Amino acid sequence: MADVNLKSVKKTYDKTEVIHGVDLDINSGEFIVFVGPSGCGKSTLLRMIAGLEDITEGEISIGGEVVNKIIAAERGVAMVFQSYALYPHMTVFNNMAFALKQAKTPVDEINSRVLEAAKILQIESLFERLPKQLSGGQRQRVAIGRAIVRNPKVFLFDEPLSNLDAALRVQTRIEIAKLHSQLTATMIYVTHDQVEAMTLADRIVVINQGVIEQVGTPIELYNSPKNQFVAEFIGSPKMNMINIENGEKFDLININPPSEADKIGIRPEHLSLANNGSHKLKGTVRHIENLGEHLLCYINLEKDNEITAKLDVNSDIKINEKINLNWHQDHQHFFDSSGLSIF
Amino acid sequence: MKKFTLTSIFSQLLLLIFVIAWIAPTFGLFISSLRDKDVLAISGWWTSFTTTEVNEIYRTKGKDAQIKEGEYYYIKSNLFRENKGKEIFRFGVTSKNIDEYEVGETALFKDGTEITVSENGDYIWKSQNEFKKKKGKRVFVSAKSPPSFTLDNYKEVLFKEGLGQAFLNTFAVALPATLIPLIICSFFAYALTWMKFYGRDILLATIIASLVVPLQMSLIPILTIYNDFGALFGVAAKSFPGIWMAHTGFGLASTTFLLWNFLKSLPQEMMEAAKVDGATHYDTFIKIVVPLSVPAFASIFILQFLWVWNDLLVGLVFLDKHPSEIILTAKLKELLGSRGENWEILTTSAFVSMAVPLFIFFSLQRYFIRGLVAGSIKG
Repeated sequence: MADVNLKSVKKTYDKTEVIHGVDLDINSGEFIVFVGPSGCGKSTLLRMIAGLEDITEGEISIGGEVVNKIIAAERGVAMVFQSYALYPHMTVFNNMAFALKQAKTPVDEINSRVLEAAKILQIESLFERLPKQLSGGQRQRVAIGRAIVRNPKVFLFDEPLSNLDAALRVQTRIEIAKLHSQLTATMIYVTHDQVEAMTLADRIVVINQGVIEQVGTPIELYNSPKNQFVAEFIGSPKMNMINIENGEKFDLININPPSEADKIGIRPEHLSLANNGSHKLKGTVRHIENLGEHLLCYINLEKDNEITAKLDVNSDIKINEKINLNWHQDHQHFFDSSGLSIF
Repeated sequence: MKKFTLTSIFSQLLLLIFVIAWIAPTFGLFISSLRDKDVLAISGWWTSFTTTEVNEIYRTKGKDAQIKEGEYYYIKSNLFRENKGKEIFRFGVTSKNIDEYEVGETALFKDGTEITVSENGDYIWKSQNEFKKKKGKRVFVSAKSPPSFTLDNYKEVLFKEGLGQAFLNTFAVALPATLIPLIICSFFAYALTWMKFYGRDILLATIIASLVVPLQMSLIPILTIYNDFGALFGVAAKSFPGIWMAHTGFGLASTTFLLWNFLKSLPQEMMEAAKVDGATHYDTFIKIVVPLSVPAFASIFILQFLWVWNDLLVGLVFLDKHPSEIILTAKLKELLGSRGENWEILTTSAFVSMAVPLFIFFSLQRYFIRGLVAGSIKG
C-alpha cells in the first residue's frame, strides 16, 4: 500500500515527446485505470512507473520516495503483462517463486507465500504444470499470482485481459475487482476498453496524445465530461455530436444553446421518440440494428449530421421513416469550438 | 487429407532425389569399408549382398606335405588359406580350361598325378611316385562366394595407419573450437540483443559486415600475429591452443549473428517480467535465456562442429603434420597420396571421418524442432 505521485512527467524518444508533462496523484489503495486510444502513451506512463522506461523529465514517487533512479525490482511494484510473459521452461510454482528466489527469501517463506497466492486465485492444482499446458485464463491467473506473491506496494496491469475471449474477460474482470477489495493494494490498470475502465476503476484517467484529458470517478466522466474527447471516449455507442451552425437551429428545436456553443452532445441511450411538437430533433431512419434488449437506430438529420439512438425494442419505426426525437435537458452537453464543455 | 497437387508431387520427388543422392553414396561407402579388400578391388559394393561366382587360382602344397599310404603318395590339404564359406562347383588344372571338371571328379595333371577337389576346398593329390617339387601345382576353381563382411579394414586403418590418433586429434581440435565460441558468443549476442549501450548498432553492423570477409584472406596475417605473440610468451608456433583461437575467431561472427537472430525472437515482455522480478542481466541470461536457447545452441553447435571437423585449411596452417597433431582431413589427404590404390583404406578412412558428424547430427537433430518457446506468449 502506497500512494503514487507523478510530477510533470515527460518522456521523449529521440526527439519526439510522447508524454507531455503529466501530473497525477494516486491515493494509497486506489484502483486507477489509464484509458485512451492506442498510441496515446498510457502504456508508456505505466512502464515509467514500473521502471522499464527512463523518465526523461519530472518525478515519480512511490510511497513518498522518488523512484526515478531506482531499478524496477526495488520499487516495490509488480506488473502483469498483456502477453502474460510467463517463463516457458519453469513450472507454475517456479514461475511464481522466481521473484522471491531472486530476493533470496527463505524456502519456507517462499512456499507459504506462493501457496497463499495460489489459494486466492485457486491455482494450487496447477503447480507442477508448464505454461504451455495451461489455458489462456489459467496463464493469466498465474501471471497475476506471480505479482501477488511479491506482496508489492503497487500492482501494475498492462492490458491484462486483451488476450482473453469475451466470456473469460468478464469473469477475470470480476476477479480482479474482488482481488482489489481483498488485497487493498494500490492498483494501476491500463486498458483501451472503456467498459473495463468503467467497471473496475475508483478513478479513471483519460489520456490522449500524451496528455491527461480528465481524471475522475467513472460516473463523473460519464455525466460531466470536461471536453469532447472524454465525452466521446466514455460510453458506448459513443455520444452523438451535433453541429449547431452559428446559433441557427436547423436541426434542433425547443432548446436554447449558450451563445458560444458549437456542438451539442447527447448520448444515444438518452434519446427517445417524441410526438410532433414536443420534439427537439427530426431525422430519417437510415438503418436499424435489433440487439434484443434495444434497437440501435442510425438516423440522418436534415443537415449532414448522423446520429445513433438507443430506442425501446417495441418502438414502431421503419427504415426511411421520419421520426421525432426528444431528451431530458439534464442529459445534454454543450461544447465550444475548441471542444471544451460548457456547463 | 492432403491434396496431391503438381507442386507437392514435384517437391516430394525432389526430396526423394535428394535423399537418394545422399543415402546411396554414404551407404555404399559404409558397405565398401566392411568388405574384403580383394573383393573390393574387383566388384562394386552392390554385389556384396548376393552370392557371386568367382574364378580364382590356388596353389597346392609342395613335397613337404606328402604322406605315403600303401603304394601311393598323397598330399591332402585345403586350397583356401582361410575358410570364408566359399563353395567350389567346378575346377580345372590348366589355364586353357579352367572349369574342365565338376567338383568331386578326378582331374589328371600332365605328369600323370591325379587330384580330386571337393566343394569346401579339400583336395587329395595322389601320385604313384614321390613328389619331388617344392612348389605345388596351380588349381583353377570356380566358386560361389557368399556375402561376407569384415572389420579388418577398420583395425588396419585405426591402429596401423595412424587414423585413430588423427581421429583423437580432430576431437581435441573440434570440441574446444566449438564450445569456446559458443560460450563467448552467447554472452555477446545477449548483450547485443537485450542490453542498451553506446555503439551497439555499430558493433552489430561490424559483425554482420565481417561475415563476408573470406577466411583465406585473413588466415596468414592471423598466423603471423599469433606467432609473434606466441614468441613473446614462448608458445610453440603450431599448437592446439592456436587452432582453438583461430577457429574461435573465424566462427565468432557467424555464431554471434545466428544467436542474435534467435535471441531477439524471445518475447520482450518476458525479459521485462524478469527485470521487474529482480533478475539482473546475468541472472536473466543464465536462468531464462540459456534454458530457452537450447535448440539454438544445439543447431549452432552442430554447424560450428561440422565446420571445424571438416576443415582442412585452418588445420594445415595452424597444426603440424606429425602424428600427434595431424587432423583427420589432413591425414585423409595424405593417405590419398600414399595409399591411393588401396580402396579399403580410403573408404574406411572416409567413413571414420564421416561417422562423428553423422552421429552428432542424428543425436542433436531433435533440438532443431523448436517447440520450447510455445506457452510463453498467448496461444
